[in-house]
Amino acid sequence: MLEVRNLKAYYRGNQALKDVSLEVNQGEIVCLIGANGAGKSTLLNCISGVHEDQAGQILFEGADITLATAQARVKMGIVQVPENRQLFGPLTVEENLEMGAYLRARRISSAELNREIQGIMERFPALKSRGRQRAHSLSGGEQQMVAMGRGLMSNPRLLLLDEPSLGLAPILVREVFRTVEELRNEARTILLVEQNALGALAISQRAYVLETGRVTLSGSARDLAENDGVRRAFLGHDVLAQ
Amino acid sequence: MAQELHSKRAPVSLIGLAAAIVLFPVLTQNPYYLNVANIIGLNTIVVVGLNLLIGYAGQISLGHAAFYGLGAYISGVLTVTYNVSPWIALLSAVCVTALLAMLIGIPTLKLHGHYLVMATLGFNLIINIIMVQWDSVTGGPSGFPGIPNLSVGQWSFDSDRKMYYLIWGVVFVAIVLALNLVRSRPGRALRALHGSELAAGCFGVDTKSYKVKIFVLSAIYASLAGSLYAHYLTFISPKTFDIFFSVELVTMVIVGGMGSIWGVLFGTIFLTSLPNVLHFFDEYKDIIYGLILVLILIFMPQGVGVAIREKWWKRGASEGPADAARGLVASGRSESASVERAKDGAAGVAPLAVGDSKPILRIRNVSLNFGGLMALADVSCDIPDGAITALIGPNGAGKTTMINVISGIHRRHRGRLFFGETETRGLNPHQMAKMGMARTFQNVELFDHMTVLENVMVGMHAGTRNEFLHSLFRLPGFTREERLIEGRAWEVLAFVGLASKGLFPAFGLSFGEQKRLEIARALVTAPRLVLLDEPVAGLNMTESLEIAGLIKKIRSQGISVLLVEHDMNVVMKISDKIIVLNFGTKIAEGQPEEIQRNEQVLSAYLGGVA
Amino acid sequence: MSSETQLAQFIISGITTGSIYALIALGFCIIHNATGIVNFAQVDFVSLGGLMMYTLLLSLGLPLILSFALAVLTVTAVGALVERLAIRPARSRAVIVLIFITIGASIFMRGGFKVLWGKNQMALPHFSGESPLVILGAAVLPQSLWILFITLAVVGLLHFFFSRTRIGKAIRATSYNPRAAALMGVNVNRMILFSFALSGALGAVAGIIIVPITTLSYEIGVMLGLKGFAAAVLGGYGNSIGAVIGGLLLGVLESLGAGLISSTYKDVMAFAILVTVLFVKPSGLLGYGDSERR
Repeated sequence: MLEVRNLKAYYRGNQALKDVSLEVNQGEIVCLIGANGAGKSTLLNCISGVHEDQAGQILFEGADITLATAQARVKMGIVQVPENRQLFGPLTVEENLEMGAYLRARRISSAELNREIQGIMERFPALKSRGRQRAHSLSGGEQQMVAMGRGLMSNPRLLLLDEPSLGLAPILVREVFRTVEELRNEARTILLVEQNALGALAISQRAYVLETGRVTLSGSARDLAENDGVRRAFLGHDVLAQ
Repeated sequence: MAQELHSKRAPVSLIGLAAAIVLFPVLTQNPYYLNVANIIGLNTIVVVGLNLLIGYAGQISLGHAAFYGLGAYISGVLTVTYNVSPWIALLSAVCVTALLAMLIGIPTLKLHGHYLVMATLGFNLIINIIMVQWDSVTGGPSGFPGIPNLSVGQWSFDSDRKMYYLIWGVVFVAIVLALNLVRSRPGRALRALHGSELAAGCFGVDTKSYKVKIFVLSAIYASLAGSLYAHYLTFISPKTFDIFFSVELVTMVIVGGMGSIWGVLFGTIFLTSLPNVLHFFDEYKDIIYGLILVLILIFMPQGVGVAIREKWWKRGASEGPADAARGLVASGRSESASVERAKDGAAGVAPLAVGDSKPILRIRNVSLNFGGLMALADVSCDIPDGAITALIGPNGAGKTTMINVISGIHRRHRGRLFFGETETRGLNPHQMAKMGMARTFQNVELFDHMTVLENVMVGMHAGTRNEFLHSLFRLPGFTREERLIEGRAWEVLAFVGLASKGLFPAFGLSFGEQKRLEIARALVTAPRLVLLDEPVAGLNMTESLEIAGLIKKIRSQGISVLLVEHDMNVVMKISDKIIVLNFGTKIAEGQPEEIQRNEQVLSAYLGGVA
Repeated sequence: MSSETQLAQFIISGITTGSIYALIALGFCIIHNATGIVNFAQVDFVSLGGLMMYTLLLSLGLPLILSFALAVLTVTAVGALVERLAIRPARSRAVIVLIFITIGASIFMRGGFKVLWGKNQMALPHFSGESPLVILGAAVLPQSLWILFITLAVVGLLHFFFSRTRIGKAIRATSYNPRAAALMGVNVNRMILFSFALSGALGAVAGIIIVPITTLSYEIGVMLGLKGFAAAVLGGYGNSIGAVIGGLLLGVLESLGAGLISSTYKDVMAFAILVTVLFVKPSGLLGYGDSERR
């Protein structure tokens, strides 16, 4: 469904991605793990079309979208739930969700829109009764729910999740992962970026490990969970082995 | 070449300017040209001052026409109505204007953002309306006539030509003083402020007071020009000093190039003569003026003067003698890096005997709450003296918060910190700097438009003394301190391997070099402890290794290092001690191999859904 | 005239001009929220509204309502053009540079108005007669009522636009977080374009409704616009409710000051208030303080 070929990206004059290639197939959850600064978010931003300085090729369902605008990609169904949630703070929860359906809102009736918003509220019971509250007044966990709900409102064909568990307490982390699992059971296609490697591997089919801008490991999630290389990617090479 | 560009360009240009000033009236006999030249000169005085404010303090004033007008009206009214000597009137005007500027500047410049521009806009409108309405004193909208010429004894400045020499003499002095200020400790501090207020603050630059001082200085320039204007034309009217003239003055600075004294000289000449040229276009002249302004701002936003200078700088950076020198230093650098590596091999991984000596920094029960979020919870640890300590942890663990607590940026924490024997509660970053603690920043905070050398020189701000008056008039002692600062800065640049880049602008450096420059700037104060916030983030393998080598070289100088870093290969390789944070609490500390085997650390990093 | 009716008179005339300041202040706010800059061309949107009305109504003899609509449309288009031709192509996103681009555009436009409409003073007829009505003992021009009514309607429409329509919400979302808006498929540049167009419309309405009770010239908008700016600062720059309150308050204070203290220094009032606010409470009455955008 998504194919990234030899992607290079530059950030402040430095190469953040070095010939990254990966693919995501219809209906699977692929996770991309790696330490801070490995280039994970840059990669997602390239796929979303909001990172300018890049070279390489991105294909979506066979079509080359390397040059497509961010807007066009959302229209095709590539939707990102950004790191740190990035909600529209002064807007209400409902309005935030509605912004998720921005490009579709012209084509659907307001009754239908409301029904979909209600659907999201049911999916995330924590948000019920919070519809008219401003987004910045919510707790971190609730904000993450709104962010994911906002992403779902755009009816994504490919959902890019950028560190959904970041900064959340363990109990909320569990809840986020449960939600992602639910989405998997609905046969949605997801590219999940996580620092919580074991959590992400547990719910994904396949995984890539990114280290300083390069893919250093890839394979089935189960194999990688056993692989010592994952540990090295986070904690560095053994001191004693040198 | 670059060196010449910097140290000798100014005198050469000044001699050129002096020659041009002297020769111009010889070459033209046309009194109209002399008249235009005089007006240009008066505008230049205001604009050179305004440029210090805009280009160096990063603040805009839309009130300089009012300061100019105050100079003119106070001179006019005092000499005509009260028969005061013009020179005394001129001084009185300067004093009144300076005082008003201070009154406006102090409350607005202590705030972030562009409040000065709004306040001065209002101020200018008020002053202008008073000039129109208070007709018993100012003569009202029809103006104020009969102002005497300036004179010295019996000799009077009563012709365009005589005034020309007076005005341009003042212009010359104004430019010399401005250049003096720019190339001095306060001047560098001001430019640093413009580049990164955060970093400038950390090096002890008292940002607020410098902004007020420069604003007052620029108002004095304007008032002085206003007084000269009144005595030159002998007639003044409110229309000259309205808000549109303030806008024009700022436009001259922006079109010429904020921060470039020679650029704004060009901007003033260009924009002052433009209406005279556009006179041929008669009623279309405003349209054309507006269009030119918009086009220059769209396509040359940094101003014509700066655009030219930067082209020159870039050319200098890509060719020039530095090429040879760069090779030299680069090889020296890799040499030192490989020496370091060889030493590692020999010494194996034997860590420094940590814990024997007294810790340089003791952290006791530090907690910090950010709007309900516990960023740090009861953290206690010791940072050993003369060693490299790493602070690590997953994203959001509180590492940078801890660094900010240690360096005094966050001061609302609970718990205690001891630097050596001293408790550091309530000390701000530059007080910490004075005590011997220096730092670098996660998102490189360099002063982009200053040279590499000047960046390092700003690092010495806190320990040195030259102030405004010293710098403006080059008072005794000024040069000695300047030399001292510069010498020390070169030393440190050589230490980090950047000596060959000293005279190039910081924005031209590669990312790796920028990181090293930040380290140099921290080292220049001869600190006992340096805090490095992600020194190798975003670097490639070779660059990371070089920085790692440099960090060890710092330790070998007896300086303690505390580093926050995500690149575990570097951390594990060079650290003597590692402290691990997760969710704001310390979960482990110890030597690298202990940390790598620690189950709690593993699960903090690799996560998992319990 | 008793002192109470005199007071009522001052307050009513204050609210009338205050409404105009409020409309102009709203224009300043909308562009500030979208781009973080002060758009000084706002003052010329006000002038152009009045000037277009003059041409359409008197020179071409079109009916009042049609002239009104066409004048507003023209200025809306001009607002969009300023964004498209001067702001978007700018190579620098620095706030200072963008602000001075709007100043350049303002000089350009004012020069153009001077060529097209000349330097003379002009007059526009009141919308519905000039015989004053007596309310609470004070004489009120029908035009004042028009101004109040139209301002109320515009503020109501704006509120509806920003809280109920898809584009309005997208503009708000974009001003808060342009990057996230882009990720939702919002065309950020277009939202900025809309903001300029909307400010143009607001400026035009202000100019059209005030001109009958003042005189019209190519630079009529300058003083009005600067006071609108002062009103925006008073309310808390960038805050729309603040802009309306700031405008009305400024109008009333100015009118009271002129009536009770001195009419000579009437114009000083607004700017003295501006400077005082900056010294005492720079975030304005309803400001957020240092906003997240600079």
